[in-house]
Amino acid sequence: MSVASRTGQPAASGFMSQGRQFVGLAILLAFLSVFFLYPLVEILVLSVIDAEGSLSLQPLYKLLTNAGIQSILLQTAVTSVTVAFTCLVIAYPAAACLARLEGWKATLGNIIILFPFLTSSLVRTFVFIVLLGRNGMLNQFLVSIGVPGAPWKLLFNQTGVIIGMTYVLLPYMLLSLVGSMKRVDARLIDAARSLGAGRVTIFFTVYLPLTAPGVAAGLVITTILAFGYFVTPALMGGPAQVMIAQLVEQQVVIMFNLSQAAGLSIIMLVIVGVAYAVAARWLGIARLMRAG
Amino acid sequence: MAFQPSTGEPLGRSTRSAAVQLSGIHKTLGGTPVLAGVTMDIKAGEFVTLLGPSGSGKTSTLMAVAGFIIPDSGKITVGDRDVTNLPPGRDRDMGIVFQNYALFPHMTVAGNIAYPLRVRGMSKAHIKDRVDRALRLVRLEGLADRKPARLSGGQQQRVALARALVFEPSVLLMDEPMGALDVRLKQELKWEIRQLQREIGATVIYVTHDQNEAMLLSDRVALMQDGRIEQYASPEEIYRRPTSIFAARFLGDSNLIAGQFDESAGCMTVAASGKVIPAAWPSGSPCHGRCMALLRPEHARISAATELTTPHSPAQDLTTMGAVLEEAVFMGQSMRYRVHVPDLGCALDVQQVAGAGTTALSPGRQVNVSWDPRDLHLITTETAS
Repeated sequence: MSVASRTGQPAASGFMSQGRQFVGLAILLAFLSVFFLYPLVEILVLSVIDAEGSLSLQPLYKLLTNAGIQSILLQTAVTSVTVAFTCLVIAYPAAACLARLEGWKATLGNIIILFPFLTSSLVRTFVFIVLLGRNGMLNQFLVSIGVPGAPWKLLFNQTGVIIGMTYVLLPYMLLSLVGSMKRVDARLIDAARSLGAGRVTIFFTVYLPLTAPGVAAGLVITTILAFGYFVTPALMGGPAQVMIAQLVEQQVVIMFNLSQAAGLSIIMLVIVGVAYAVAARWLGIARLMRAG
Repeated sequence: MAFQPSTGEPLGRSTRSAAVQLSGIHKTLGGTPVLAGVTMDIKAGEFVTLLGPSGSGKTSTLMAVAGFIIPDSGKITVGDRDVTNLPPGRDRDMGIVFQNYALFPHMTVAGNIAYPLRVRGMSKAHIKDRVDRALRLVRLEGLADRKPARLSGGQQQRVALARALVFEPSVLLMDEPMGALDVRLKQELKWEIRQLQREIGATVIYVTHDQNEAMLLSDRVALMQDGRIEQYASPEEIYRRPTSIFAARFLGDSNLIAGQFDESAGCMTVAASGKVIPAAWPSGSPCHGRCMALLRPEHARISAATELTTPHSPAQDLTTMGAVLEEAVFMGQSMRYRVHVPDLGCALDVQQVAGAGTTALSPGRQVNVSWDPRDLHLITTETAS
């Protein structure tokens, strides 16, 4: 996904005949069926088969009413939303600067955003453990300049999870914001100035409303991605920061309880699906797709 | 200057229109001079058009007045205030209609028009009152709640105009406001803009590359080329008495005949043929030898060469010459002819009203072409010392 290519128009028809288009579509559909729909149905079936091997909603009900799982779901939701908003606060001013770059500077800007994508999120998370540890670079610096309370505990707690996940998900937010900011016509800002508006007024009455689709898309994307995150909370969080994806992993790897893992997966899928549907309905799906 | 809310009166004749003066405006952008000493004065309530080809500096001049371009040197005053280095905004007190309008897409028509009032902290009731009157002024009463995307080009242009006028700025700037509209709509809106400006009495600076627009709208036209003003006068003055070849060519169609002016004899020698023809130097201008004679196509007449007329017919005091008709084109209200005149060593364009009695003239025919010597306007081509 590159910023430049997303502004392009869909390829002109006539490139492929109607018949060939159907063949292409069929191949894609077959791929989707084999590698996504089939396993999904399998998981769905697994999640609704009880201990006796008969079809029942009992296992899902049991999972949903379990107080421990409820609290993990809540923790996951709170963390995801917090991460999404932290991303927004950090990315908005950065994106506003990036959107104004032109030529080779814009290319360099995009490379800087996309660079973290080239490394696996596992490596990136370990990098942050090095930076944020008790004797890590940040704490050494804080102690050396005599900040009260230093060294801070920045790992294996909620702070660590938020910092780590924000870092990992920031590029998604940046890309969706830069996309919407590039579409803001600079002459509208000039017009607002000529009509007598000050900088702050222009920001709140013109710039922010015009970039709102990007903000909404960024929030939806980062929240959904954060909801299913596994590596970062596992490595940077403590026992209290267990997220739903970790629970699924536990059920598969440690408990060998595939049925419960499937049940949890289905619950996750439904929550994310409903959240997306609500967001799409409120914000308009077309706007989300366009800005994302 | 503080904003004075006047709520009782309709957006009527503005008492706040101000004179604008530009003196010696220079601006270089990226190594190229875009403005090379623009000097002009605009009276309060005057409609002035900056006319010129693209790249002539007309939009840059407007943007300097608007405050979006800060001149390298020179001074701009509005009324008695020096605004040269003032940023665009409330203190500058100018309404701008941008090219392609720059309407806020997320606001309704009423929201757009209310914007300048809202940022000035006017009360809701006053804003509503003013917006209603502005909508009436541009005849968009029923469309207050529409978004700009759902308006036609002409309607968008009117919203932009209402938004620029609603806060009663002392100067109204318009940057090719009709560039994106089709010909018929342009024709209609030209009359509307003219009428509106006369009604409001605002000082208007208008940029266009369309000479018809400039002719119809302006009290005075500043004809620009290469970042400088070639001629600054009424449209009629520029058309009848252009001071340069560029001005003669840019406004209207022209025939140009190179020659040498003889002051004592009151005639000029055509360079290409050596033929001497009567001509008068425009009064008040300094005399120079080498010159170009401008003859507008509609000032020349052609007739079938059935009888031989003397080259200089004293009865009618017309200059007449034999010519060969090369082309004849029917243009609707007139006929357009192209004739080759051996005595001038060049071709002339002739435009003649195509009435019922017009004899059909076909190409290749021998014709006579004639004109009143007073319609021959001389332009010096010798650089003034």
